[in-house]
Amino acid sequence: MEGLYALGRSFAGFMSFWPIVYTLGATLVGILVGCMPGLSATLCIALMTTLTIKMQPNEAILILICAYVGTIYGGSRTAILLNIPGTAANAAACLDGYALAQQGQAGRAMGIATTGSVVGSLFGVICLALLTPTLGEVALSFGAFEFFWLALFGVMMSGSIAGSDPLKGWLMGVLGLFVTLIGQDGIHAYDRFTFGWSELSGGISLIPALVGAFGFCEILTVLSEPIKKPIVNSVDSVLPRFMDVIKYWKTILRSGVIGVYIGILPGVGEDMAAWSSYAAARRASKEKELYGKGSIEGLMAAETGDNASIPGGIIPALALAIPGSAPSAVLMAAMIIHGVQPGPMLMVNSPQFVYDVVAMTTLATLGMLFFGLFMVRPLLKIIQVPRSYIMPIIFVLCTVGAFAIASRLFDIWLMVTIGACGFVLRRQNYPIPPFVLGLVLGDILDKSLRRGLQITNGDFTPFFTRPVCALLAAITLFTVLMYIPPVNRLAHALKDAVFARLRAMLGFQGS
Amino acid sequence: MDAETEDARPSARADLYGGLVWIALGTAIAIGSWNMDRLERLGVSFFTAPGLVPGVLGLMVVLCGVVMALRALAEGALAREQRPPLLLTADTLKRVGVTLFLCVGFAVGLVGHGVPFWIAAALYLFAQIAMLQYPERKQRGEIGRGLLVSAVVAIIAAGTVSFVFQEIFLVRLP
Repeated sequence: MEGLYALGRSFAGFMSFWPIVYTLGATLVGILVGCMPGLSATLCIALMTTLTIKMQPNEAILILICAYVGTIYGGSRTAILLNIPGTAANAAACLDGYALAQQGQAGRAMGIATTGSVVGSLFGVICLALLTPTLGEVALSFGAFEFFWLALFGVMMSGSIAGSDPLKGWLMGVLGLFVTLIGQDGIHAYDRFTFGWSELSGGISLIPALVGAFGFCEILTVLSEPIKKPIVNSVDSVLPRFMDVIKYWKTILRSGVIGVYIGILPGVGEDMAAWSSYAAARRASKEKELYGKGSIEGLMAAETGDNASIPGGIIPALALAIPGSAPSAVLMAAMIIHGVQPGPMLMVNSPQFVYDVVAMTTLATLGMLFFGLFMVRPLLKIIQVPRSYIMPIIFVLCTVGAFAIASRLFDIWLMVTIGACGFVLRRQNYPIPPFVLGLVLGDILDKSLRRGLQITNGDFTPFFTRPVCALLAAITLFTVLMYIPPVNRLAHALKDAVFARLRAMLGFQGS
Repeated sequence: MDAETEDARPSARADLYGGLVWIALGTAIAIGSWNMDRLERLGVSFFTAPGLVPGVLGLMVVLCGVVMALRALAEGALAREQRPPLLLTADTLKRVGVTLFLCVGFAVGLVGHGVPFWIAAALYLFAQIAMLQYPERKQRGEIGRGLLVSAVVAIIAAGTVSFVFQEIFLVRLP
């Protein structure tokens, strides 16, 4: 009951002129960024963080959350119309969205994407409101041992899933963890790997590094290819059909649950939520043959899943200070910049903030619904703007974004260096998201491991015997070991043997 | 489809070189961490020494680098026939080179060296947009028009960015 009152207070706090203007403006910016292939939610939030640095914390975070939700939603436009996902999260929407557009149903596809996104986001918001305080309470019993494993688990999971080669993903994760350790260490204030360079003593700032990794790197990637003019499919009515929602309610619910679950997992982002929801919907579908050829259900599942994972990703960021995805990592960094310290103590120190975030995400969802219903055609104009204009302007914004946080020229050089290195690494199939997770989680991992060992005087046992630690350690080690072919073969052989025994026990006659 | 996927991967030799670079980097990190002051004179325990975690990470990088190099060797990294190491054609390299030159020139050479930000931004935007549009404009015989459009877009965009950040959101520009 107390939670409901707090939620009511939060909503009431945002029911005035400026918060509504910020909601609509930031959601619109997010949708426009999402419409431009190559520009990610992570970059959008990082740039908006610098723009809003002088604003009140609640207003700034509202703008960032609206931009986040808007970007993920906006990416479905180009997925449907051009077969190019605006963000990585919308790749699954290409399969059926573009097929529907080719059948002359682009408007209907966008209506379905709007419905799926809104319902998924609202489902995620409910989970955010219910799970964050609970997880926060559980996390109060966590110590250095659990936080060490949570950080390592996040980086390793992200490395395993992002990209096609887990080994390269893990390397990027470990590189991110190392890079964040450059500068004064958090326990003894000793300079590590600074080589006497005072600029490095303060450490590698997160926002310039992210702007480099997701902004400049992406600009180089986009501009390295010849610029083609997009051919946009014609658009029919974009109003969602409620029959579609009613008909596929099970798919929507399932995708919402999968989206939130994947969002909560540290390091696993919206793209994986969309693909997992899509795959689960296809497995359970009665119309499997339509998937990939314009399935309403498939598109609905993908868009519900990726949007549900947004609030899902914010849950561990708020309750544990362990972000669920790269964009939520930037959001978490922005919260810290604005003086809000996420983590288990958040529910003790500023419980109202959690409900404020719930209200902000709800407002962002409503903003997305507004633009999805009434502003589709004008918004499509952005797709027609040539990349040759947009990308250089984005680089100017990246330069301002890198500089604005600390007013240091060094941060601009850092952004350029990380972007150029990121471009070369991406060309070699190294994924960037694990690097970002490493950057965010490096400090937690470092302090947790050293504090844990100090408490136990060098004894590693509690890192493996405490229940949560044992579970996280088992999953992390299993994930890594499964990459070794003989272990993988052995695990599969064991699984087959167990299932064969179970089938025999239950008297099931399999082929 | 398979051939496309295969072509979209870096060559085994590139992975071998990558593995060797990672081994070198990891070794350097591990050595740097080992040689780092352990603050024993301040009574700091070995387990909270500043070099502990970077050292472990360095060893992890070495381990991953060794696995990558061995895997590349098993995939024929020493064979004569290889896919291109960086997946870059000559045209792509040219475009990336020019873009990199302009971006670095703007961010490192112009910004923060006394030139007002909006002028630096306008100069960069003009050069970059004109360069990107040049092939298409040349094909259509519209080079003069292309330069004019680039200049107009550059001035408007640079002015707008400077105004919005500095005057509306009160953000300090370089």
